[in-house]
Amino acid sequence: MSLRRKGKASLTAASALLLTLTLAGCGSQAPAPSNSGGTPSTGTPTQPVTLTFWNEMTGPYETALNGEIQQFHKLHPNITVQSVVVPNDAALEPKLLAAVVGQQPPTLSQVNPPWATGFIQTGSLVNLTPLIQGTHGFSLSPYYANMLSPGKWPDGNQYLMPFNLGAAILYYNKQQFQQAGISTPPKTWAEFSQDAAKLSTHGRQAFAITLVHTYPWLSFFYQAGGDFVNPKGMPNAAAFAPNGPGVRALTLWSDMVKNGSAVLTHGYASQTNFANGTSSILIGTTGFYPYLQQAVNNKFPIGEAALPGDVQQATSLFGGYLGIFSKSTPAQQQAAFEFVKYLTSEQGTLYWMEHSEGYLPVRTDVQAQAQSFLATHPAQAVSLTVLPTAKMAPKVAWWDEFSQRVLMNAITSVLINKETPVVAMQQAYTQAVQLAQKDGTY
Amino acid sequence: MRKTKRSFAYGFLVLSALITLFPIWWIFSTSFETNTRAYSFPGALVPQFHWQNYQTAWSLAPWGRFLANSVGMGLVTTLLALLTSLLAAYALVFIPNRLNKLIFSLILATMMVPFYSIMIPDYLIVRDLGWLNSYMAQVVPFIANGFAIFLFVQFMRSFPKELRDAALMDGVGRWGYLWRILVPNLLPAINTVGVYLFLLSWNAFLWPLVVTNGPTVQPIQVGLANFLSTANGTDWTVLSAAAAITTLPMLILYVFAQRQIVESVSRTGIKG
Repeated sequence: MSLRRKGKASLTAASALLLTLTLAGCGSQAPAPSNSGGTPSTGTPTQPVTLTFWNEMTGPYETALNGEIQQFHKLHPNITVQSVVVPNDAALEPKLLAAVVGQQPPTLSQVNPPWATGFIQTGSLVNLTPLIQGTHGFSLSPYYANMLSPGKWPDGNQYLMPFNLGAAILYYNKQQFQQAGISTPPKTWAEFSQDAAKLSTHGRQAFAITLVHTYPWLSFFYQAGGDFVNPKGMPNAAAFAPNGPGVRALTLWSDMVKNGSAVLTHGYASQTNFANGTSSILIGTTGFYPYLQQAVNNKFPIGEAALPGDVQQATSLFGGYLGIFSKSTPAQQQAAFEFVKYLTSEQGTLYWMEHSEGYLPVRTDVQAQAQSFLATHPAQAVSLTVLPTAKMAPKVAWWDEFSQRVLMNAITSVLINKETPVVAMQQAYTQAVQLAQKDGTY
Repeated sequence: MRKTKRSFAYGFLVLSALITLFPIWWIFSTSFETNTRAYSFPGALVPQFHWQNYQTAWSLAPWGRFLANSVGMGLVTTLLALLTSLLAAYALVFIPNRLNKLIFSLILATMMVPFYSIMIPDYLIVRDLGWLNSYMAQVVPFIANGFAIFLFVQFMRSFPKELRDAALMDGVGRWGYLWRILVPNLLPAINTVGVYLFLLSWNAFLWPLVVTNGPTVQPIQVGLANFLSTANGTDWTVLSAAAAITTLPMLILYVFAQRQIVESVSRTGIKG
C-alpha cells in the first residue's frame, strides 16, 4: 500500500469520525438542512448572488466548464459562479471534509457518491428531491436511470445529480487487427483473449492494462455478473467466492498476463504504449479519446467498440456528481440549484458533451440533437450505445477505500503473480467486511 | 592498479551523473517536442525546440503569480522559522529550567504526529482566525518547526560552555551572546536548516490546497498539480513545459546554493 493511499485512508477514517462528532455532537452549530421539508423556493434570484463551485475540471475540462459557466451567466445575469479547480479526488476529498467540518463548505461541489453518506447524515448536503419536485423543479424522466440512481439514497431522496461521467469502452489499433486477420473487435471474453494472444508476439503484449482506477477491471467483474455490495450495503460474499465473478474476472486478466498477451502498466503509460504501437488494445473511458487522438496523430486508425461480454454485457461508469451544501444561504442554494438544473439540462448537457472532450450526456434526449457531433466522435457514439448496460461503482461509505486500496492491491497482486485470484478475493472480502464495519454503509 | 581503481571510480560517477541527469534532460527535451515525437523512442531525446508547448503552458495558468507566491512564502516562512527555532533552541540549551527536558520532548513529539491527523484541527484554528484563503494560513502554521529546533539544539550543545562563561564575564548579556557570538558561529547550521525549511515550504501541497481557493495566494505545487493529469490522461508535452517552468527556479537556486543544499540533505537526511 503506498504512503499516499495509507495517508488518504487514515484521513478518510479520521475525518469521517471528526465530521460526525463535530456536526452531530455540536447540534447547535450544525446547520439544519434548510429545505428538508415544505415547498422550496427556487427560480432565478432577484438579487445578485455568488456561488462557489469546487470541481476537478483540470486542463481541457476547465476550458469547457468555463464555457458552460459563461452560457449560464448569460441566462442568469444575477448569479455569479466562481469555479475553484482542485486537481483530483485525492485532493478534493480532504479539502471538502475539512471545509465541512470547519463549516466553510462551497455552495456546490463535485462529490463522489461514497463521500456523501457522512455529509447526508450530518445534514451538510441539501436534499434535492423537494427542489426537483417544487415549482421550479424539473422532470427526472429524461435522465439515464443508471446515472441517477447513485445519487439517490435508500430514503428515496436525490442528494446528488450526475455531471461528468464517462463509460469504459475498448480502443483498438485497426491496422494491427487487420494485419493479424481479425476483422471485428472481440465480443466475448473468449474472443478477447484469443485476439490478444494473436496480436501478441515475444516481448510485445497486445492488451495494455491501465490501473489508475479500478473501473476498467470492474467492467469485467460486472460482465461476470458481479456486485460487491448486498442489498443491506454490506460486502456481498458471493462476489468474492472462489467460483464467483471476482475470481473469474481476475483469472481472465491474470491468464492473459501469464501467457504474454497482456501487461500491467503504470499510470497512463498504457496510452503511450497504444500510441506508439507496442500494444493494440486499451480499455478506458471516452475521456481517453482526445489524448489518444493527439498521441496517435493519424499513424494508424483507432477503432472503438463496446467491451466484450461474459454472462452479460456490461461496462463501468466513471466520474463525478454534483451536491449542494446546506451551510450556504437560501439564495446561494437557489442559485446553485439553478446552475445544476442548467448543467444537466438539454442545452447544458449538449454543450458539455461537445466541448468537454469525452464526457457523456446524462440524459437520453440529447442524442438526437448531437447526430453531427457523434458522426465525427466515434468514442462518444460507441459509449452512448453501451450506456444502458453501464454501472456506476457502489455508493456505500466503505467503497472508496475498498476500491482504491483493497481492490487495487488485490488486482495488482494477482497480475504480478504474488497471489492467486482465490486468495486475493478471500483477503479482499475480509478487509471489505472490516471496512464496512468501520465506515458504515449508507 | 591505482589507475584502474580511479577509472572505475570515474566511470561509476559518470554513470551516476547520467542516471541523475537523464530525467531532467527528458523533461526539458519533451517540453520542446511535438506530441507525435514525444510518444516515440528516441523521439524526445533530441529536442525539436517546439516552443508552442511553453506558450500553451504559460497561457493556461498564472505561473508568475504561483512562482512569486512560492518564493515569497518560502522566504518569509524560512526566516520566521529560523528566528523562532534559534530562540527556542537557545532557551532550551542555555536557560536552565527543570521543565526543559519535558518541553524538548514535547517539541520532538510534534515531529511524530502525522500531518493528516492535525489537518482538520489546524483548519479550524485558521478558520477562526479568519485566515482562510490567505498567505497567513500558509505561513504561520509553519513558522515553528520541531525538527529545526532539534537541529539547533544539537548544534548549540556542541558549543563549549567556557565560551559562554567568558562572554558573560565580559558583560555580554544573553541577547548579545545569541546574536553576536552564537549566530555568527552557527552560520553553516543556519544555512543547512534554512535550505531544509525553504524546501519544505516549496514542496507544500495538501495544506495550501485545503486552505486556499484560488491562484491569487496558491503556491506553485498546487498550480502544477492541475497539470499532472486529468481523470483520463496526460498531455505530456505541455506538462513537461509546465514542469520545466517550475523546476527552473530550483535549479538556479541549486547552482548558487549547491554546497548548503548538499550539506542540508546530508545532515538532515531529507531530500527536497
